[in-house]
Formats: sequence, C-alpha cells, structure tokens
Amino acid sequence: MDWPLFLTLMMGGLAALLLMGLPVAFAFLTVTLIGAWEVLGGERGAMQLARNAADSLSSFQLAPIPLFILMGEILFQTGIAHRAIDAIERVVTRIPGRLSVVTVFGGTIFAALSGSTIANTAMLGSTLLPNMLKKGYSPGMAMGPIMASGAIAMLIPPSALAVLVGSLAGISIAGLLVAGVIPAVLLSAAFVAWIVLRALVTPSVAPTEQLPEMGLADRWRPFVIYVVPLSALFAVVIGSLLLGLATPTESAALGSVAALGAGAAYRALTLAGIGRALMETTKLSVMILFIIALSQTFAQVLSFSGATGGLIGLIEGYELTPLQVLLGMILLLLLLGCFVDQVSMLMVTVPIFVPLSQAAGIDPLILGVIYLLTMEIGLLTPPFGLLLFVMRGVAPPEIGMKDIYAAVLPFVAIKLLVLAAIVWQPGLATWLPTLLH
Amino acid sequence: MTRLSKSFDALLRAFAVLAAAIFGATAVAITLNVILRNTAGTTIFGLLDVVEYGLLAATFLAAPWVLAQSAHVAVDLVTAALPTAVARPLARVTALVGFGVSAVFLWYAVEAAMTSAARGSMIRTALVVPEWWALSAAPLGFALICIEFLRQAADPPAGARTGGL
Repeated sequence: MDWPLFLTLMMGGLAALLLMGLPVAFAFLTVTLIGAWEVLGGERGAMQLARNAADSLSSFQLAPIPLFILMGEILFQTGIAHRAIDAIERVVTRIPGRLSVVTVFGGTIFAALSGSTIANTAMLGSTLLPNMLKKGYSPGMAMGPIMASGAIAMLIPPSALAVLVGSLAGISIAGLLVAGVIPAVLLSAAFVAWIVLRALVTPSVAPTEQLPEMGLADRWRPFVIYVVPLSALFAVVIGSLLLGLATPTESAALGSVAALGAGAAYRALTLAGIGRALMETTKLSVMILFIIALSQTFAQVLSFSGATGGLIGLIEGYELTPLQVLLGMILLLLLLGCFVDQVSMLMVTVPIFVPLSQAAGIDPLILGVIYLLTMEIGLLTPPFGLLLFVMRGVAPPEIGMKDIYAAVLPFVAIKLLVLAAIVWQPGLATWLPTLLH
Repeated sequence: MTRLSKSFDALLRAFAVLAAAIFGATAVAITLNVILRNTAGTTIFGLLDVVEYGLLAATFLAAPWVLAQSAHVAVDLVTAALPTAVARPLARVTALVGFGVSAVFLWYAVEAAMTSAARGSMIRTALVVPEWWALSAAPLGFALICIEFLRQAADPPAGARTGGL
C-alpha cells in the first residue's frame, strides 16, 4: 500500500473511532493493531505491539508523571491550596478588578505546585467564582481569569504534560520543565495587565468593594503562614533540578513527599485525604501512561509504512524556511486543539513533527514549549476545550456555554500573543534551561 | 447479575488500590534514595528497576478500573450531542469495538509472554528477572478490560466522560 492511502486510512479510522466515543487509548490501539499487522508482518507485528507496550512503560523517566500529579493532589485534597487562595485574597487590596487579579495570582501559585489544569481550574472555580458573581463581577471578568490561569499548570513545573512531551519527543525533560517558567510568568503578567485595563475602562465589570478594616498583621499573617512556606515546595522541585542535585524523577518524588510534610505541618493530613489523593493520582496517571504504552508502536507503524518519511519529503519539497515550518506546525496544533484532547494531539503529531523540526534545525526546546503552549490553548478553544467544560461544571446554571466561550476569548488572544513572542524571541524559553547544571 | 457486577467492581478497585500504593511507595522510595545518596553515599540496590516495573504493573492493573470509571479520556464532541435513543445503541457498538480490539490484543500479548517464557528470555539490568514477568502485566489488565467492555455493551454507562488533563 502506498503511504498516502495508508496514512489516510489510519487517520480516517482514528477520527471515526474517536467520534464514536471510543476512549482515545483504545482508538489508538485499534488503528495501531491493524497498522502493525499490515506493515510489521502480521502476527509478528501484533506481538511486537504487546512487547513495545511493556517496554515503553518500563521507563524511569516517566515516573515524574504520577509523582507530580500526586504532589498537586495532596495539596488539593488536604485543603492547603484553598487556604493559600484565601490568604492571597487578603493581601491583594487596592487594584482594579481585585478578585480577578487574585485568581491569576492564586492560579499561578497553585500551578507551581500542581501539574493538573483540571484540579487548578476546579479549585479556582469553586473557591472564587461564587464570591465574584455575588460581588457583581461580570461573568467574563469572573470566569476568564479562572480558566486562563487554571491552564497555566501545563506550563509551570511541576507539569505532568511537560514530562510526557519530553519523553515522547525525546526532548530533555529537565530542560523543558524549566523552559516553561518564563513564558508562564509572562502570561500571568499579561493577564493581570489586561484585567486592570479592562476594569479601569469599564468599572462596572468589576465593582469596587468595601473591604473590612484590617491591621497590617491581620492582613499578612495568613500569607506568611500559608503561602510563603509553599514557595519552599516550589524551591525543592525547581531548585533541585536547577542545581543538578536531582533528576526530574527525583525532584518529583521530593516534591510529593514535601507536600505530605506540608500537610502534616498544617495538621491537615488525614488518612482519608491521602487515600483520595492517591486514588485521583492513579486515575489521571494511568490514563496518561496507558496511552504512552501504545505510542511507540503507533510511531513505528507510521514510520515503517513510509508515511513519516513520505510526508516529511513532501514538506521539504516546498523548501520552507524554519520559521514557516514552525508556523505551519503551530497552526496545525491550534486547529487540532479545537477538536481533540491534548494526548491525542501529541500522539498524532510527534512522529512527524520531531523529525521535521530536526530537519529544519528548530531547537527541540522551542518545539517542546510550542507544544505545551498550543496544548494549553487547546484546553480553552471552543468547541471542545476541556477547561470550558470544567468551568461549565462549577458555574451556576444560568451561565451558558456562550458566556463561557466569550469569557475566555481575550485570554486566548493573550496566549497567542505570548506564543508569537516566543517564536519571535526564542530566548524567552531557551535562556533559563541554559542555567541547568 | 448485580452481585456479580458488584464483586467485579470490588476486584477492579482492589487492583486500583494496589496501583495507588505502588505510586505512593515510589514517591517514598525515591526520596529515601536521594537522601541516602547525599548523606551516606549509598543507594538502594535495584531501585531503578523496581520503579520501572512498578509503573508497568500499576498502569495495566489500574487501567480496567479507569475504564469502569469512564476516566479514560474520550472525545464526546458527537456522542454528547446525540439524543439518548441514538446514543445508547451507539455506546453499545463502541463498547463492542473496544471489546474486539482488546480481545485481539490480549491474544497476542499472551502469545508474546508465552513465547518469551518458552525461550527463557531474561532481562539483565541491576536485577535479573524472566522477561515474561514483565510481559504478563498487559494480558492481566486486558483480560479485565475485555470483561469491562462486555459489561458496558450490556449496560452502557450514563453521563458524559470527564477524563483529561
């Protein structure tokens, strides 16, 4: 079979199975199994798929995925994260759009402690949204910042998805984890700037509130107690990576044990809480790892069928500049992000994009950060952005899907601007990893 | 039927709890290892291997439970928009497709493990173990996945899927 037909059948079959509602992992399994039978030699190919599944999971570098998720879950299930948000709310006072700004600060801080965008969005939504709506914030000002900063968890370490991108695409995991920091800080700053601007231009979207009189000590004490020590957790994870004291797996393990320590220190640790954190961790991690088990063979099948080489040859035939190649990949990822989930985006594109960007001379770290940012944007773009539905789940019933779409749009625009900034100035992503030992 | 279904749920949950324990133990063991290395200059023998096998075992042991919880990420772009009269039969067909592909995979995963056992292949890293041990995780998980898909074909789970990152 020639490769264009083969590729069309694989991708077409995959799309049909996904639309039927078959879980992503099993949709990939189906097309990979048939493809392996066709190009890897019948029964031998099918057995190879089974062996690859065991091989790809027996990998130490995947261990940070459950460990980073565990770290966030512990902080979430023990309620430490919620207390931190309350503490931040007390100290952010005289700024237009105050609660929206609190959302961005809280979301960014929790992103630095957790690798799950869903947990982040759900937490911000459940703690801050009712308060904002009650105080007369417009739905856009209330929900936009929650979804936008919830999604940042994908970019700021600990990020389970950065580990996934790194291991699938063969990019330095430590490097990629660190590379996300500056773009994420840039995003948060831009969100705050937009919120303040919006509140100044149209004050009615974020009414000024009468804050209770509070002494300096009352205002700052919860911050010192609940937020400052958490920065130690971030320091444990990133510091141990930057100083070369620990591998990403080790820094993830240290982070989750430190989170447990924090829970104990705040006397917030219960057996039930730890149990819930572990079970939630299992649910999310196994979902990701199970798909990884099938990824290696999927890439092999595409490569053996000649589809990978053929497609790359076709693209090289156009003699595009690296910038054009990069822009093309970004456009495709953004388009995919509107319709499919993040792991499928990765699985379908990595076998093609990695060799393609190598041929074009694109820095692997840039490719990795582009992946993370476009996947993050994919969480927020209609109609299928996952966080839009998480938001729907925590928002009051009178808020429709249209309001949610409208709320998130300015923030998607900001993310696109930051993405453009990274393409224009790659140093924004690549500078920090050069400090790695 | 309900009692059978309930005991099956208990079995899936037990494996999930085992997987959760593996993830928890991994965090503690790796941390201990870092402390030992930086204080006593020694490490836990074979830890790397054990962590790798742990990931493998945990993934396949808990995957059937994740399926039963409808937490494997899926695209519900179309299915969520369908009326129940169409959605339920489609869910049955989808579950049967899932069963079919899992059964074929199970067959060849068993064959891969048995071939390896017959050859006496060993994995020689820090620890030396028969390769078929590692190759047994997938068949075990997929046997349970097959049963779960059959159950979903008989009685499609209600409500939208919520898996994702």
